[in-house]
Amino acid sequence: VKGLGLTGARVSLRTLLPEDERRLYAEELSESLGSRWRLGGATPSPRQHSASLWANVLAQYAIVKTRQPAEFVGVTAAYDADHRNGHAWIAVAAVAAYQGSGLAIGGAGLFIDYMFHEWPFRRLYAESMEFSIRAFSHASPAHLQVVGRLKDDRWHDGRFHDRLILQIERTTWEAGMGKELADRRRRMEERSAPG
Amino acid sequence: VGLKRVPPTSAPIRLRPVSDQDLGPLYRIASERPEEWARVCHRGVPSPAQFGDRLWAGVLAQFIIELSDGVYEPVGLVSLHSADFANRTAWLELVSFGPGNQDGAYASGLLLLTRYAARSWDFRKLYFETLEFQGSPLIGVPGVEKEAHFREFYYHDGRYWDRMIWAIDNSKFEPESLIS
Repeated sequence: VKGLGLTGARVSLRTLLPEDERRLYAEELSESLGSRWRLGGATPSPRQHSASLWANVLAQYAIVKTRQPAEFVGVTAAYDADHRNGHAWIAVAAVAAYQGSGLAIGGAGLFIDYMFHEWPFRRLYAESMEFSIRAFSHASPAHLQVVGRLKDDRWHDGRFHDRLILQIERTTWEAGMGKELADRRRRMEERSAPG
Repeated sequence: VGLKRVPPTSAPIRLRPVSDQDLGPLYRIASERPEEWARVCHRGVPSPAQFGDRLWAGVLAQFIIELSDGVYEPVGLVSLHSADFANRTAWLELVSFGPGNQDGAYASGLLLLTRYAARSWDFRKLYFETLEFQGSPLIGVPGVEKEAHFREFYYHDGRYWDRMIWAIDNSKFEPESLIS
């Protein structure tokens, strides 16, 4: 995978390309995902969708399978970074073909490593609707702490659902990742070393 | 500090629209106490030229709270912003002009705004946020619950402070009965 070089055993991160944006547009407006994702059933123009995809974004990558042909799995992003107070928000989404596979969460794990490696954030936050929280069952509960539950916040599929606010603490994340994280960072540094 | 301990003021109080003449005093508050005005100052204090736009960005309704001690004087600003009509939620904000303890006036101002909101739009929930050192006169009122608690979220005065999100459930919250 050419680009960032963040490569895991099953998934990797690479630059988000225009064709990825077109794919995401089609996915987000699809019958299966249209009302579940952030658009909540709305159908913006492709240009509006692209702008919203990059609004207040600090970093954003495509998640692809590491094994060729490197199929597109989803997208992960950091936004609303608050460097003054040491936190940012992250998001992850899988396309319909990889919903529930755990691959997008694997990509989010690489991305969280990247965020903590590149910036001195103390913690990262994420939002999830209660009907999407199953996607996080592939993540270690120790890394994810629910710090908020906005009850009946958003309408979906005939009723209001809770919006959850999740926290990932740097110290907890790094302690939990331990040797695996240290090894991955060493490989990253070796790949980025000149020559 | 809840309304049980800080009842709405019995002095004459009113909400009036924000005018151009208010921008100078409001900008001074943003400059001097940005930590108390998250909506406008969360990315730093805006320039005077940007301030007006930032003050109105995403705002549905906002008013100056005026308290009368013979003559009406401004004591705070209440705003209703970030309305989500699809899901029938919006956010409340109170900015005190200080110094001086005007908690009764702030309680009354917030209640008048929630009543205004209830008469104008069919919101199910109103959210507001507080930092640990701020409090709100609405905390402790029936129908008001804490729904999120961010530990050590905001750096101020040498340490990190918690941020809380509170929700007013309009099915359980009755501003009419609380306004004297």
